[in-house]
Amino acid sequence: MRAAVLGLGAVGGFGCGVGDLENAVQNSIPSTRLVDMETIHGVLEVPGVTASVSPLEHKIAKRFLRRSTRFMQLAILGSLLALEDTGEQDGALEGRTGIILGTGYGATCNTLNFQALSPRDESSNISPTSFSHSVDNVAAASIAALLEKNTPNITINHFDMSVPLAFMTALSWLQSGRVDNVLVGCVDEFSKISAYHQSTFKGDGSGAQQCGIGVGEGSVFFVLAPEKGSEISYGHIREARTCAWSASAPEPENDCVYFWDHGFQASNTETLLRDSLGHAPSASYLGLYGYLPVGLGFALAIAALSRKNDWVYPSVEERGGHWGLQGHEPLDGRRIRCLRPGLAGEWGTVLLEP
Amino acid sequence: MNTELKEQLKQIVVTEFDLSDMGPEDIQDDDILFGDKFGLDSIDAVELVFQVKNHFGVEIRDMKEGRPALQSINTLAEFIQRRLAQ
Amino acid sequence: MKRFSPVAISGVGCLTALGHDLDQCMEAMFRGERNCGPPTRLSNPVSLDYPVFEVSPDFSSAQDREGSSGVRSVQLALTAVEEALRDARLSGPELQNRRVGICLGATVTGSLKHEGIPEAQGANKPEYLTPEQRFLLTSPVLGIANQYRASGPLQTIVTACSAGSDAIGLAAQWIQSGMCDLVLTGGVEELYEITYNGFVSLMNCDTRPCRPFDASRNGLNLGEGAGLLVLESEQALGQRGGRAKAFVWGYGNSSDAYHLTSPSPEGQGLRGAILEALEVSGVGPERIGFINAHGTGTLDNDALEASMFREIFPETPFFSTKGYTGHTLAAAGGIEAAFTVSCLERHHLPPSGGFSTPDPELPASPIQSSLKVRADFALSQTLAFGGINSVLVLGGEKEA
Repeated sequence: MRAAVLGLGAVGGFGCGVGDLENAVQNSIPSTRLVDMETIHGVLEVPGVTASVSPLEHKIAKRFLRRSTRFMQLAILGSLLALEDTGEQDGALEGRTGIILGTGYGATCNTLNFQALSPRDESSNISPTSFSHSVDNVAAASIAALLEKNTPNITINHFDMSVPLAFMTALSWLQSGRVDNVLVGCVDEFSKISAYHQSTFKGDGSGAQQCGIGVGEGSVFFVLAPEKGSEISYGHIREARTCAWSASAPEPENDCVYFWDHGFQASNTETLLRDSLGHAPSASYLGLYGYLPVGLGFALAIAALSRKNDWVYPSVEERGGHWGLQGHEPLDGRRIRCLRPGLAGEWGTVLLEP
Repeated sequence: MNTELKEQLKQIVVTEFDLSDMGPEDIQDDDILFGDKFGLDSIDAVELVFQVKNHFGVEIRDMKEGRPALQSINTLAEFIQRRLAQ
Repeated sequence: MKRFSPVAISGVGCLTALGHDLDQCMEAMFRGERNCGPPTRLSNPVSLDYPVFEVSPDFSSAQDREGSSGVRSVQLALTAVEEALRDARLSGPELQNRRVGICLGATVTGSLKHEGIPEAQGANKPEYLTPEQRFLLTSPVLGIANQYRASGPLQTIVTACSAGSDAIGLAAQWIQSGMCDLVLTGGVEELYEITYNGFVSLMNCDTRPCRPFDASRNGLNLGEGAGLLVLESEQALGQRGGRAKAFVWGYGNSSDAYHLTSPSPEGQGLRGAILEALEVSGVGPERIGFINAHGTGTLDNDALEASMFREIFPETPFFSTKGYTGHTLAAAGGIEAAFTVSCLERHHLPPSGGFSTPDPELPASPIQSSLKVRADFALSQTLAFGGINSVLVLGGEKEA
């Protein structure tokens, strides 16, 4: 069973909405800027890719956003953009809509996980509001409350495998008829602790001189429904899964291009995957959205745009690699396999087809 | 009654509950805090208890004690003053 | 909605404040033991007035194993997995020839603490971890995967207090789809200062041992532990001559779409989850022999559940085990599924922990004494922060 991609919403360093993402990828506009970060060591300047949630103010009543965190706002914005993109009136979907969210940094990356560096350590005297916002499922729950969906709702946090697992679950729900459509997506905030370590690792404590690809931030959501045999411009998701490298290595497939996502630190799995796939035509767009555990969601969004426009855009990436796709070229009916090598010896993939 | 205390409480309500289109001047001393005017709910109630403890060192141990105290700025200010005097 | 085909549970492992394995926990429950007291392992609690249910220290061979993780969540999970595999009569090496998935509920994907993590200690190292390190070093799923060289998929569900139930429901779907021969699933939770302080700040905790559904109930107590099930495909079980102790018959999940920490008083989320679980299992409410309620001891939660039981299961005995274990958050769904399987096997239900006086304002009350029941099916349900409700239908028999 394949799932049709009916709508797509994305917010990140490239802007807000499919149009901004399309513009960024067509013009290869890197998104990394210098970001100020307040720490116990003073204000540090680090490379980062941050998003704006201000468009939310025009989309929903202010009272709904009262007390919401950035994590929640990013997810709500991404999901609303996806619903709008379906073209349905008021973004409404018929029938039962499941909600599945994947995250890697989670709801506490700049609060509890940042506590050792934060000038405002609240962990020893946490407020009830902060605490109630510290559970990773708070974003998916907010989306359900906004859309008034009393339907299946799951949040997955398995770090860099959250996106393929979320899509795997979405396909399973559609196949079993558990829901009629699924709002599935991912969200990660700009993780200050990751940015701090990245800038430290580069040997430049301030990060001010180097501005390669920074730690990313954003949200991507897809509206999926069972395939109905009609032409779908974004394409269909055929497969989503994770696999231990030790269990099975991918072979290069015919009529397939590969969109890579990966983390800041290279992993053994990444090396092994690249060796396995050899010179298979590949691209990577990390420069548009930054390093984040749910980056595969952004790669998949760009894949959907490539499908829609029948075009493969040049990579925006800083890693050396076997990028077999150079410059602009037609997609020409090929499938797109989005790949993420994981830190823990797994790799994850989502396959998009016409 | 302590006007300064009431103004402080109003500022806490506006800031901590993110009532961005309201200022302290929009809260009357006898407004029902957990009625329809401000759209506050049960998390805000426990948050107010938390803020009162943090700002004034006055603890509300349970909502039996809390409910009458949290009715309005007036009742809350009275409660805090009474406690501080003990 | 497609019918859920029953998935075999071939092994169960569990540890809580009641004991270090499932039998110890059950026998202690039937004796009415409630091992709670002020927290002993938190370095900076805002108060010592709220009792907790801690797992006693000497719980694990996993702790003694060379190179073992110092992270408590990992140790708890490994201990429960060891028992579950023993119960399933499976050895570790036998897992390596199978497609083994791991799907656990946890509050976070890795520990919130630094204790037990060498990389976070030392005079010259900052006492913090990168998210990458935290995941690699403290994820209970990875801890199990590394120990048993599981092929995957590996997944951590973070739906708070429903995470354990959701993990089991999703794991069952991995078996049904043919993706795995076997899945280790359930939930794990260790007691954290942050959660203790957070629940205290929410004014959700009782200073006395909790009394779910009781007229005097006044909040929850936190607990910790792990509950793990081995789910296996019929084919894998058949090939090795294994036997099923029970089956997962159905799974339902529904959001209240209402509030971050309070359940919807109308109960539309819980009702939706119960009805979904019943529908896909093909088991009518009248065939549910008993219910392991969420029953935390808070005013709102218990009122909602009592009302829902009255509406859908007016004759069905129900009980809460949180009076014996505390609220074990992400582990609750796994621990309570383990207890439910045991009750199905023993044909015996424990009295609802901490309950002695019916609340005249509640339309239903739990069992006050132990009860012998030969049930074919049972329900285990959990209600989470964010209004996520998850329900499992568990049964002792393969055929309905």
